Amino acid sequence: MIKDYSKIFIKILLLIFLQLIFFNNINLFEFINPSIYILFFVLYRFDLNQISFLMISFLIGITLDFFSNTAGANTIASISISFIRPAIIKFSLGEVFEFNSILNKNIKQVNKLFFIFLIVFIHQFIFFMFEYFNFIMMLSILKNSILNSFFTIIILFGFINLFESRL
Amino acid sequence: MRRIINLILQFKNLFFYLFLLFIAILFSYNKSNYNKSKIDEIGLTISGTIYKSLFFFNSYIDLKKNNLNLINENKRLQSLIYNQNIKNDYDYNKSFSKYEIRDASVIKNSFNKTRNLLILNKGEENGIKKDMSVISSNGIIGIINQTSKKFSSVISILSRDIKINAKLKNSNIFGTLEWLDFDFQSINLSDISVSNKINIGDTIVTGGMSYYFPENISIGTIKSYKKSKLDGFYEIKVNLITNMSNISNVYVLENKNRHEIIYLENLSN
Repeated sequence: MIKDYSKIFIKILLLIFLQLIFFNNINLFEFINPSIYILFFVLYRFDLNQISFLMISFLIGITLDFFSNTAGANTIASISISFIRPAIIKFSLGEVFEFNSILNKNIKQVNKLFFIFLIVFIHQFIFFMFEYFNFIMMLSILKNSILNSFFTIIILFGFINLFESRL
Repeated sequence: MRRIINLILQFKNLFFYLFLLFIAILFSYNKSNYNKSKIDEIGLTISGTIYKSLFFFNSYIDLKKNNLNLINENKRLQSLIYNQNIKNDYDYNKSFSKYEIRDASVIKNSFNKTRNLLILNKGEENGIKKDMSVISSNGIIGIINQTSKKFSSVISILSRDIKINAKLKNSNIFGTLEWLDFDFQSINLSDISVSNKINIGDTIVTGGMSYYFPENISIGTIKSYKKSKLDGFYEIKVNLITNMSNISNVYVLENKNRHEIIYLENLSN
């Protein structure tokens, strides 16, 4: 179990490092910054304890918050997506899902895409809701979340297909 | 007991999520002033609605005393008007006047904490905005710090976070009023140099140097003073005229020239 968590810890550090140094400063079209740390919520094993998953995602969210000055939006989005993830797994990948993660060859591409899309979009929507903290700006929130999740999904899919053997 | 523990264990994910959500919202509240003011507005709406229903009963009990106070205030104001020969005393809110006056009722008060707050039953839809000053029929009450649509909250002068510019009535010497004790009848006056002569019983009035209160509103009388050996200033205790434990009707003053004065100060800085 310690070996599992230490591998997870190294992957988390790598994702946070990439996100803060590289992906937060891309500024595509001057406002789009794809979030690569969502890869963690997509690829985390389905069979480990849910409470430790909540705790780890809270710590990821707070670390990203501290360094990117977003005043709580990252934290709330991370813990909400990790709380909702079992329901999303049931909804998109089937009621009975016996595999441990989505990297198996026996899963249909459509299911995989739907799962990644739901996780990324819900995470970005909650993130921008708490970043703007105002219902009047709902159009900005929707625009930001749709465009950000589009580019994040492209990058996540690229990552998964390129490094499938190493992950 | 076992059933409660079973219930908690059944929903342990949900309870843990709610606990972490609470911590995250607390973090967000402390980090960003914008989030803080939005959450404060929600809190003000909720507490205002609750206290408004209690206000109905409380105000009925105080009716007789309020009427006597109003009659006394009317007498005082009428004597001012008739002694000064003002021709038209119904247009007290003419457009060129410096202060616009609105009335409000206090639906929640406190006077025994370190930072006391009042809630009024008028809000943004009655024209009340942040940074307006609040006075009563005798003395000053505080400054408005947050408004919602129907209610507004006032930082009372009995609060550590507020400092008021004041002066001695007869000699025009300026000082700062600060409330550092827990006694709701007295307040401290500082920044008066020992080279000035002061007596017990001298009246303290508002100074007019801030953009909040107009000049010459009585605040209190000097109760006691001592010279502190370290710096060359007095430490003065002032008895408040206003009875902060029993406030029901207040007036909210809007300084119409406030924006212009602040703009001028920002230009010259």
